[in-house]
Amino acid sequence: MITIVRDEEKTPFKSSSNPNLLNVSPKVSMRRLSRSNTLPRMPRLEVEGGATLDDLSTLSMEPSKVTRLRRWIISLVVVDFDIDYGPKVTGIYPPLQFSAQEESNIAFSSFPDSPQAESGSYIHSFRIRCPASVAQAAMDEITPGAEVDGFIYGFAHFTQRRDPKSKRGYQQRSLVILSQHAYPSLFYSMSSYLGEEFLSHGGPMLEVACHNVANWPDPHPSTTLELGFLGYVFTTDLPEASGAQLANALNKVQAKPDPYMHIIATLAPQQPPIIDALQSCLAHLWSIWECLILCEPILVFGTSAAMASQVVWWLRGLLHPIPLAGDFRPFFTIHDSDHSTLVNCRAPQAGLLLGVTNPFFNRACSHWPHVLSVGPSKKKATQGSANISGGPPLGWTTKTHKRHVSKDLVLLRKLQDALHRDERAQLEASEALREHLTSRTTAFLVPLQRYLNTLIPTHADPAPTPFPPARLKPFNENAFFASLKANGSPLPFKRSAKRKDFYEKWMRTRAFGLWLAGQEEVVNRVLSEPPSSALLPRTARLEPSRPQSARPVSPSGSVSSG
Amino acid sequence: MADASGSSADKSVQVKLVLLGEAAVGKSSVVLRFVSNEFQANKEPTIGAAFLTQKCRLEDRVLRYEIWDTAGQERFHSLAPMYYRNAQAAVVVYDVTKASSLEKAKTWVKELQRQANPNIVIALAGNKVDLVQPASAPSPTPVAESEDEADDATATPGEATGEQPESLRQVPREEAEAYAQEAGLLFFETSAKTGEGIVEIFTEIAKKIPIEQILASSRGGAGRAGGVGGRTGTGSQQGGVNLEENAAKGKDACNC
Repeated sequence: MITIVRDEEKTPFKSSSNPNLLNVSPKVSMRRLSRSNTLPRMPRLEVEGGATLDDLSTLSMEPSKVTRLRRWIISLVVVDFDIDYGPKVTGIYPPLQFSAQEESNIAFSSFPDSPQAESGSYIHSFRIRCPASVAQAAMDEITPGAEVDGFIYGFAHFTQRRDPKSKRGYQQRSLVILSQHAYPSLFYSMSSYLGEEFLSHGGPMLEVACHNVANWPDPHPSTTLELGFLGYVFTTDLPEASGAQLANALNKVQAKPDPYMHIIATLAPQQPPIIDALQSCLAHLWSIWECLILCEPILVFGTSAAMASQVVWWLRGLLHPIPLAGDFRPFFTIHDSDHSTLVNCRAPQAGLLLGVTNPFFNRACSHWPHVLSVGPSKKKATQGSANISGGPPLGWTTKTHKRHVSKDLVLLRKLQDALHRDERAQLEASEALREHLTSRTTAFLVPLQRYLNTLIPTHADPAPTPFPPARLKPFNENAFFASLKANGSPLPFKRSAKRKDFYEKWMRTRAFGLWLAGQEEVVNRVLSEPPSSALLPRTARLEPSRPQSARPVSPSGSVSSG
Repeated sequence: MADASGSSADKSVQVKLVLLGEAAVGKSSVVLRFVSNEFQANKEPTIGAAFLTQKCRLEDRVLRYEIWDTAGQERFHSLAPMYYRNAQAAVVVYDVTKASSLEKAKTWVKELQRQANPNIVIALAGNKVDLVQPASAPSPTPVAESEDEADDATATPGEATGEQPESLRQVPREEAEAYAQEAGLLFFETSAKTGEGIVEIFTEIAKKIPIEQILASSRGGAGRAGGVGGRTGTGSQQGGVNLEENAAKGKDACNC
């Protein structure tokens, strides 16, 4: 007889264990996804433009389910190419009323902005200002504690395929997941499965997907959740909102034997391997990392929306755990309502990462200090299409930046070797690169944290009572540089003058202010706790890999039963 | 029994299990009884599929069922393969008071045998057996009669009528059991309402699942369910489970 074990899980959903029976990677790019051989196709494979609209209008969802859905996803949006209008929203499920401008913004962001020669499916993503309608409809329902930044994210599964019934002989359609959460890894995985199934099964797929998501536990940061979706189970880490725990989460994953179904929600999608896109600028990655840290604006020019957006997410990920100080747009088009705000004759905003494909931006952003043009160089050369795109030459171009820190030449050689090897080697090299640059971000913070720890009041200080509460002492630049000089930095700076220069530059960025405010908040919160925790100075140490809040890290205890 | 330690999670065997069957035969209720030991008289129809997990101990091994409870409505039929692909087990449910639901169950069994993992363990469950039992039968979980008008999807014939229980039965036990034997299925008559037969289904499936091979294949990295060899014995009725005792234990241990 079996014994039912009920004490492990309060609700049936959450567990940190790994569903390693599942054998299909959710992280594969669309081209690699193969449908199950057993899956019967609909008799009518082509879902026509009008059909979806009709399908969606017959779908309904109870308000309570919609509320639960919108903890994770705002809506699913279908965008079709209309010969008279261009990209046009043809369905929204569950329904949501957008203004004409908002709808047009979503429609244009969901379609490639440059000619697509090949048939097939591609996933790209975008970040747009949160529409007012969404703010009303969805933002009330956001789980407290989740990071919300006034933007929403779209994950678009774009398909182009022959359609003899269409005037132009092609069907072009995007299925878009709209969410308030910056969880690219999770939504790319969902998008790849959902997009393919939607092409075959139409409207009911959207209904099923939304009900699956409505059954998920709440998206609390610092949890590991099991998320059932279309017959798959995604074991998903939601790192701490500040990103401080990412390092821990990553270590956990390395110990797992099956990385395929384990998703760290805030990472960029891992396929295709990022070094493929970055191959023309591998030697400059250390300069690019410095520019990211120093909040320098970067124009990222991609040969496709998929590539541009993947690279922007990847760059953004290197900044963890430093708070995001600038705007980033994985895929930005000339139709975006923020176009004139972000791209104009003035100097670009600090920290702005703009992912584009349209050659227009090459001219419009000619006064920008840094341009990263990504794409596979060899293929382009053999096809002779490098000039057709009209974009800037491949590689890294900077007008102002001079590198402070030494490269890792061993790693560089490894990356270059991997380019000539199979995909597995490229994936491993890509992961090694990400780990290296992430560890540089952590190393960069070490001298700052070392100094900050000296500012935490100790028992020797005259603050014996909680009134007024003990607080972190003020940050003094000169004292920091004295500490830096005395203790050094784990980063291999070329010279000590370069080291001082680099930290000086960073302390003039907005990121420094945000980071310091975050650290002060953590310390002051710990210090102001009731006197029972008398060992404060020990527990208030600042380290990036430590949980910074009192919320439990384990999946249990923080998810409401559903 | 309730001693799941942190380490046991690592040793547990994941078993993907799918529930199939006509609308309103009680698939979700079977799962709800198994996972939460609860019963709702008028449960809303499932849309798409619900995902639940339940951990169980069988002798010295820990299994973790990943349960996909699918929708019975015909318009979702074409989506079912998403749920049964790579599943190691299936429970096909019919309603003993509705003859047509057994026919639907048979088509599901055929589809599974043709298209699912060739070694899938299939159990056939004739649900709502409480409706065809004498009224004097004790019911461990009395449920207040709902005043709500049951909609088509959840209407249960005879629930509110005074008909003789046995006359409601449209599927004789012998007939279904013979079919199950012939098709190589485990067979049970169940009641999600009283709990009868529910734990037994999952117990017998657990016994029949080739656990060692699942472990071996998942250690191999691929975790391919299709690579798992299996046995296809005939279903045997096992009387070893004292349901009432189990239900009570379940309640004690449940910290919901």
